[in-house]
Amino acid sequence: MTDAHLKATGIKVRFGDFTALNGVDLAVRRGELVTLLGPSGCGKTTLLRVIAGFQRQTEGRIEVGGRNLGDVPPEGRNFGMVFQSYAVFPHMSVADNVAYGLAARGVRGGDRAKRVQAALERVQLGALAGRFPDALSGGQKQRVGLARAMVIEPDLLLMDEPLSNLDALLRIEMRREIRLMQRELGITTLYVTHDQEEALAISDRIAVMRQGELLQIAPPEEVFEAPAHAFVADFIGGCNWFDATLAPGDAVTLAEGPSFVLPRREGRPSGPVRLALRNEDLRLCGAPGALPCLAGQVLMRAYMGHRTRLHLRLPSGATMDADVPSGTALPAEGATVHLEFHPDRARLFTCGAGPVDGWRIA
Amino acid sequence: MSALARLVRDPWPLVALLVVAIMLVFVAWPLAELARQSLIGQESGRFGVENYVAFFESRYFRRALTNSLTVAALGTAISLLLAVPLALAFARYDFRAKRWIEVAILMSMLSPPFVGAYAWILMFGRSGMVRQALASIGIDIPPIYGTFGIALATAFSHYPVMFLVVRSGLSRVNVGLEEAAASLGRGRLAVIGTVTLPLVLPALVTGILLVFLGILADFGTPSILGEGERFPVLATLAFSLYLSEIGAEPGMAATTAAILVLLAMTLVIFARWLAARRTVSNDTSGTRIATPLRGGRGALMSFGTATLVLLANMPLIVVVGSSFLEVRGVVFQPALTLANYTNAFAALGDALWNSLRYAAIALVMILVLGSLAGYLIARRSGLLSRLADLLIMVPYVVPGTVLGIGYASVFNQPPLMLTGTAGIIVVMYVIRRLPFVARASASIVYQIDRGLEEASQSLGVRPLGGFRRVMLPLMRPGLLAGAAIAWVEVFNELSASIVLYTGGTRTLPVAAYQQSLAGDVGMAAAYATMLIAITAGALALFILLRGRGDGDVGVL
Repeated sequence: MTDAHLKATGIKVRFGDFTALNGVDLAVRRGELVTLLGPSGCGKTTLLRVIAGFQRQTEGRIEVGGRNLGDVPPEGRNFGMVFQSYAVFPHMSVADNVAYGLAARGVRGGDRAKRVQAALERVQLGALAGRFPDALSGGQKQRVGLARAMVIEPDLLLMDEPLSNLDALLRIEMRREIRLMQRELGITTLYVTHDQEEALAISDRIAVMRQGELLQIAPPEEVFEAPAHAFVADFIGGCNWFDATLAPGDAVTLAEGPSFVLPRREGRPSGPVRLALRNEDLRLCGAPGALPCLAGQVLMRAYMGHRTRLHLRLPSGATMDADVPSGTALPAEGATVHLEFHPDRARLFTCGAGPVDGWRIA
Repeated sequence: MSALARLVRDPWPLVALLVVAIMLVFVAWPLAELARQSLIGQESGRFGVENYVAFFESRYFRRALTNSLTVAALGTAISLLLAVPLALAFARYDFRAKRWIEVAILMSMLSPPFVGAYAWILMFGRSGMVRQALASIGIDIPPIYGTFGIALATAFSHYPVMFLVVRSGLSRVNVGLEEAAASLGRGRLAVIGTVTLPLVLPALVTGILLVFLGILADFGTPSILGEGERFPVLATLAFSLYLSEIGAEPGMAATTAAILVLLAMTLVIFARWLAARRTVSNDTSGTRIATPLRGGRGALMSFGTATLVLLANMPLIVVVGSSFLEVRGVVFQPALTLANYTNAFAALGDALWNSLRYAAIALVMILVLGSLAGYLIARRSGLLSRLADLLIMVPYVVPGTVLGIGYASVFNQPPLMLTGTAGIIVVMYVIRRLPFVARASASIVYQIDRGLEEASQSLGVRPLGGFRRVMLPLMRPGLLAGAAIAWVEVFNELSASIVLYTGGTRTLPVAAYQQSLAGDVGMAAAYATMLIAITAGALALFILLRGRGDGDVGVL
């Protein structure tokens, strides 16, 4: 990427024997919101802290706006940071919290008061300027944290799981506000979360990480529709996994029975593969037809509103889930049903060491 | 960035270096010197364990060791008996006058232990008031001197520590665990035995360790109730050996001191091992709400605890009361007077002024060093700060008498000629209390979200600025509580001052001790009352300074 605002290259972080980040490259455009998504321990927070300057990388280089941040301490980087714990100064009023960074920049008197008030109004806390944090709710505290980070007009906004301590409804409301504000002000933002739904909803692009490596960075639709790695497919959206064989000539045969032929493409390897199907890509059908089809016994039906999840046992003994529209005549528990899928919806991955561990083939 | 620029931005390594240097000079050096002296044979002058062999071959020295251990074990047992029921009652129930009874418990910590010892002599000594009264109606009881008396007196002055530790342990036991046990059909006592006790075991071990070490290190009480050399314990033995060796080879005092330190260290290591082996993770969600006791049961609880605490405070009450009684010979008369105070002030000299001055200077230094060191321990993981953490805990196991003797033998010659100066007393005060304030401040820092400092830094403020503007204000309440306890301890310090004072640097506890040991009983009571009054006054001041607090003194 040539127009990158933030550019991290070859970031490695080792703690003794443990490698927290194993050579990560990340580029973020001006005004873009990129989330770092992954399970705990994947290195997403470490990467954020390296960029913030709280963690020194073992190797690698970080540039923001063309400036190398090699030896620049956190207080010299002019980044705003929002914390999971809010980290609102409990001994200062809301206004003093927001004024803290401005004071450090020598902004004084009326100018400072004006900017503090404007920042508070933007997060809808204009009326609470004199309050102290212990009189605020979690959501209000995080708004203070947000205003405090925004008011210094940071070159980069870093958010470390900012919504994880809030309840579900408030999380959705706050993420919408964060996104609208971020777009309006055009602040380049790096956002850490372990919540895939949050990442899908808020991001321009999602960087999925696992075990210190960045597996894929792409817009939400692409991460969901065209996962580059089996782990990405499983972590975002969830999948049913099948052992299969890819024969020369692009014929795929599932160990469960059905087979189909992929559109012809050069250079596909042949051999054992892993095949992923999303729950919603399986469709009930009366009897096996032209499409590849699986038979299974319904163990349980779980009503989820518009859709109902069928938990099935396949002839091999393996289990899988299928989400089908509610309202239609649904099979009873115990019944044996047929489920078909379109070959286009099947995603193939190489066989790695683990159950979901390999790169995308097709 | 150059190394210098880095230090200007973040000078914590310099602070660590300072703390390490102070601890090396004022703790490691004197102790190393004592160790060296103990290894130079008193008779032969050769390097070896000759003195240790001599120590264990002497019946008298062995007796001091046995006495020390017996008194400490017995005293700890009595403390447990007093403190655990009180802690249970306070952690579980609300009853009338609870706050006042708690204040009364803490009162027992407000005076040097030897004041309590002296009160026991006033009551049950050879010509003690209670003993004589009993004798006049035909009941003869032996005087209080010796093992049991010392154990009782030290227990009464040390049990509040046990109470605080055990109560805070109890209040951290997850209520849900006990409810689970009860719901599984266990009776109330069975729940305490099978769930509560195992969970508070770490707190119990800590309490036992603190009280045991406290009694082991106590100099004043065994000195007064042991009648000097008739009932030697290690602390008094080391002191009298030191006095008799001035000018001679200092081998045996050093050896006794070394044995005392080794004993304390062994206990700490054993307790740590025990705690590590038995530590069960106790997720502390679910705060306990004390059950209010009303009516008869509440009154009974108030009465019971109040009686227990009143009994424990009897020595203080007796001392304060008798300071206003007329004295004829060595016997108090039933007539009120202020003569004791007139006499006491006439003989006071600089003792009171010295005490106030030294303690105040020391307190400021303790607070500054303690808060810096506490922060360092909690937040920095470098080699220097780990070394500082280790060194700062050493005085914790070094009895005052030992530190005093160490100072006297190291700082009596260049390059650091300090003996006889006020400086050596102040330094000793600082070093003795620093571990406690540093620990307290570290535990406060641990509780403060790391994100606050990072937020400050990301907003453009350097680390030291963040410490001043964010950390210090948040640490203040805890530091004040630590300071209050440090004041109590420093102002009443006796066991090292008694070694280090000279005519011009005599302190109030030294004056009170001297009068208790071999002086005017009325003046002794007056001095002791002054100690209690000033300590209590200072504490009240701290509480006022602290403003709206929750009254939690649990910073041990």
